[in-house]
Amino acid sequence: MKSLLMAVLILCLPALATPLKPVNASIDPIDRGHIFVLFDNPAPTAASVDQPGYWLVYETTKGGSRRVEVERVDISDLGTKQVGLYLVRKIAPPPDIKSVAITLANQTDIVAVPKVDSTSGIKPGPEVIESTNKTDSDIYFNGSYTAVVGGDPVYDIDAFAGYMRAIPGTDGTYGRIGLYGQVRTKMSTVADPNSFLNYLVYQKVIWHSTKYVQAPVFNYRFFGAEFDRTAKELNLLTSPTITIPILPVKVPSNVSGKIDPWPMFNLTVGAEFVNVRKSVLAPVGDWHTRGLAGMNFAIGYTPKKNGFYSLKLTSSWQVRLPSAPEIFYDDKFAPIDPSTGKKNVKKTPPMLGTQPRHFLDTKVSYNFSSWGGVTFEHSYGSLPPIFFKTDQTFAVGLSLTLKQGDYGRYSILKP
Amino acid sequence: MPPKKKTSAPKKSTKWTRTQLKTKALPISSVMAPMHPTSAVENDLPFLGHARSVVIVTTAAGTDASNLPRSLSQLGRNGPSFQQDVFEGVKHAGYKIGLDEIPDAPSTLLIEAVNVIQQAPKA
Repeated sequence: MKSLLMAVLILCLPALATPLKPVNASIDPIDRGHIFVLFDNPAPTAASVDQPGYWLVYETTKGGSRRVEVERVDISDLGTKQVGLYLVRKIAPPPDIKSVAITLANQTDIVAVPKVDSTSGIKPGPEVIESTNKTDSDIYFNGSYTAVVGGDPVYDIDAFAGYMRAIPGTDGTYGRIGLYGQVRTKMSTVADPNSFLNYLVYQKVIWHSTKYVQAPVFNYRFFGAEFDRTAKELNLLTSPTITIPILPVKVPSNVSGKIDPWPMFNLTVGAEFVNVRKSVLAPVGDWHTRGLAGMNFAIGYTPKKNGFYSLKLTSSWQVRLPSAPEIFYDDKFAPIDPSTGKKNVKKTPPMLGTQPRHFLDTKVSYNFSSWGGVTFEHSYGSLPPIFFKTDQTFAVGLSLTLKQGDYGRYSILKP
Repeated sequence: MPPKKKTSAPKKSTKWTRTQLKTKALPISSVMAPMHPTSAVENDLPFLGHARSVVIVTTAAGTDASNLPRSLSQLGRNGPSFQQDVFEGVKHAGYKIGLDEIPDAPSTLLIEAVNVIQQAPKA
């Protein structure tokens, strides 16, 4: 009986074993007859990869496709889940090479390795590719509709686009410049943006990373404008800030990819020098300063299963401390509409003050796939230029994300 | 009278403690030193190559090669900070690359950064 059970176990083991997960292959630029293949967890066993006959390598050139035999397999780096394939001849160099397709076919698995193409090197990838979430996006749009008990429904639109490149003519040693734009609608009874921010930005990473504190990033929004939907409030501003990324928990070796993002803080401190150009109440023409401090935090769990791609929590807080009276709106002071008996938020009177302007935004995003999901959001406080105080708002909405190339900037540009 | 049991001396653990490991850890400057253009024959190679790229990228990400399949987000790394550290590492090794060519999106895998910088030509 015991031997029968053992036989069944041995026969079933290959079926129960986790399949191999090759994640990347690249051609050694120094020796084009050498290919590196990287696996994800679990690390492959030596027996599953060490035979040259297990590997099928095909190169596609302008002249067509043909097989390249593997002469030897190097498993000395298997501890880091890397396998080296030494080929009987070299892979064709660019521009002749179009792609290299690799398949691993051992006694239990047949798995395809991600294709190596001629651009998986020094040349950048495609300009616009799919993005998984807001922090990974350079171009982002999120819309939601909120029913408010005892009030009007609220539309919420949050969109931004940022583009940063090295200073033309340099390799990036002197930093980067770019453009950043953001549209935000809060507490609007119509789906119409009421806050626009546009900046020209200079960015330079200063210092270098240490164990828990990563290299701080200096951002100088050297010219920008913030204005509302009706353009009754218009501020010009220039603003230097420093963002310090902090890693509260060191990442262990061979970490699971399911915690995504790994817990991380970004601390931002700086100032905004504001020139009020147009206002319905505030003095116009003078410069004043806002002290600026902020912190954001992110953590997530990403099992990448069908219907449950990821669950993510992000939270950001920022406070502005104006040195001179600035405009604000607080719906506590909204007049009551006699016909409905409800507050008429649209007729909230503008007021002036130097009180701190907090803004807290906490978001839980559930993604059913890599490109779409549902977002639950709690926000409180106010943002420039009109500082319309949002009183404990809860919202739910669908989100769709796209990103441009490799140049994610969100965590730096927005405190 | 029963014979006395032999009491063996307590076994010495062969494992290093965390403190011992810390004392043996190399500082970043020492890790990077062999890659400086003045220090090794290997630096005559026309491209940076895979091995040195792995060292530069994992050092910039504050981790080791077992995490090469992980993304910057999964490792809690800030994109621009990581990008700058890799850029400085490539320059330090005597090779050249543009800052914008080094991927820094939260979804960028460390191995993708290795793929890019391993083809950096000699400065």
